[in-house]
Amino acid sequence: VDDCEQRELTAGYALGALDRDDASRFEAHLRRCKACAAEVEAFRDALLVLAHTAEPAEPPAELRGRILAEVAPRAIDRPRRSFRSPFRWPLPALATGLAAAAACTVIVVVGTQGSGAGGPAALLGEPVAAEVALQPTGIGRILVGRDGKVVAQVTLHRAPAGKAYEAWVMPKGDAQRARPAGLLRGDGTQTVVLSARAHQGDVVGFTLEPAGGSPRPTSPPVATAHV
Amino acid sequence: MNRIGRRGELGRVEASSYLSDEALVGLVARGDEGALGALYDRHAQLAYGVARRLLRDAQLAEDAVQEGFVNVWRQASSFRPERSRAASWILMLVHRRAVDLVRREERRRADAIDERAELVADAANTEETALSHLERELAAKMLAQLPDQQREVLELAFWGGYSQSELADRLGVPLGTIKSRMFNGMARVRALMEDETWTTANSAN
Repeated sequence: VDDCEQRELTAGYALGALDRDDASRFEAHLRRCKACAAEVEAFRDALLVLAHTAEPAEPPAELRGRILAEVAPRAIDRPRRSFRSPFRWPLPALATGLAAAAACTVIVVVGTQGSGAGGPAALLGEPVAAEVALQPTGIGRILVGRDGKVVAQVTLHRAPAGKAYEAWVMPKGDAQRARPAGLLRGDGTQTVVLSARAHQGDVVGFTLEPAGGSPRPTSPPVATAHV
Repeated sequence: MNRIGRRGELGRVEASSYLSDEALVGLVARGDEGALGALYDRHAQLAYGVARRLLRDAQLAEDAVQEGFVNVWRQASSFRPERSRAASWILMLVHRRAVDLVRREERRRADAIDERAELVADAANTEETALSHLERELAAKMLAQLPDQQREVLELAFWGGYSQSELADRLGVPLGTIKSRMFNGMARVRALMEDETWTTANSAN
């Protein structure tokens, strides 16, 4: 490191104190100079000492939820452009009045984050055959048991008034044969047992539906996982 | 069908209580928002304290913490645990956002250090743990060992968000002098951390 003429800038960079021009030049340099990059990262720890001279303060309680809402379940507010469902949903399928009449499955909400006893695997009650992340990334995951039982751990915004999230299990590529797998309100992270079983090749998905549920999905999925 | 991985039996809630910061950052890199929540629970108080001291504005401080933690989420896969601690990386991301904001809000710029009275009033809102008190004393003790000119440059940069050329103007010394004071000051702090075995920050985990 000692022979690198840029070395002196490592400390200022770690402190965020370089002037704009220096900073952009130095960032280009960092991509080439491993020694300086390592030095910057090592200097970061010195920031802890400065930071620790501050008095800790309690942030407003809602800040945590705002951050998690920003990173994870975006899809509800504005669908991520990059998120393409792996299968096609029939859109729109049915008038909502008819849809509401078809609410025949009720999901069992077995626990929300913070209260889970034993975690999703314990809720499954059968050996875990697969664990699959829900897409988009960060929204949650599903566990599928050997006999097809499905436990989903999913983080969703609270559904708007008059709406609920509906879970579905369907053969891949055949949304017409989607089976309703229960409803949930969505409010933070929930662990739920689906009321339909899934097998290899199936797709598990969630859509926003009228509060009573629909017999078929009527909106694009907010989350999917391919078993 | 993905076979269940090492994480299979590890619910998020259970995981968060015993995993190290570095392991949690690893989970965040794999899209685990529960792990981000756990990191927030550990570090948000100090991060918010830092942002408030720098910005003197509760709303701006919240913005800095929020944007900082969102960057933790976005950049988690670039974090290298062998190079620095996760705690310092997280605080750096929040601090960097706070500096960006303070530079935008010129009028709020701290005359960095002489605002302690106000800060003490803020602190009354937080139940300070014995541990965080200890850390604060240790940090102050370490900084007190720096030559005044080095400490001044570090504190003005960190708490005032001043860039090196702004510091040169403000202190009336050549830019090169600022650069070397900053480098020597940071190197000294790092050496002191090794001497003191800065363990308290990690034992909070």
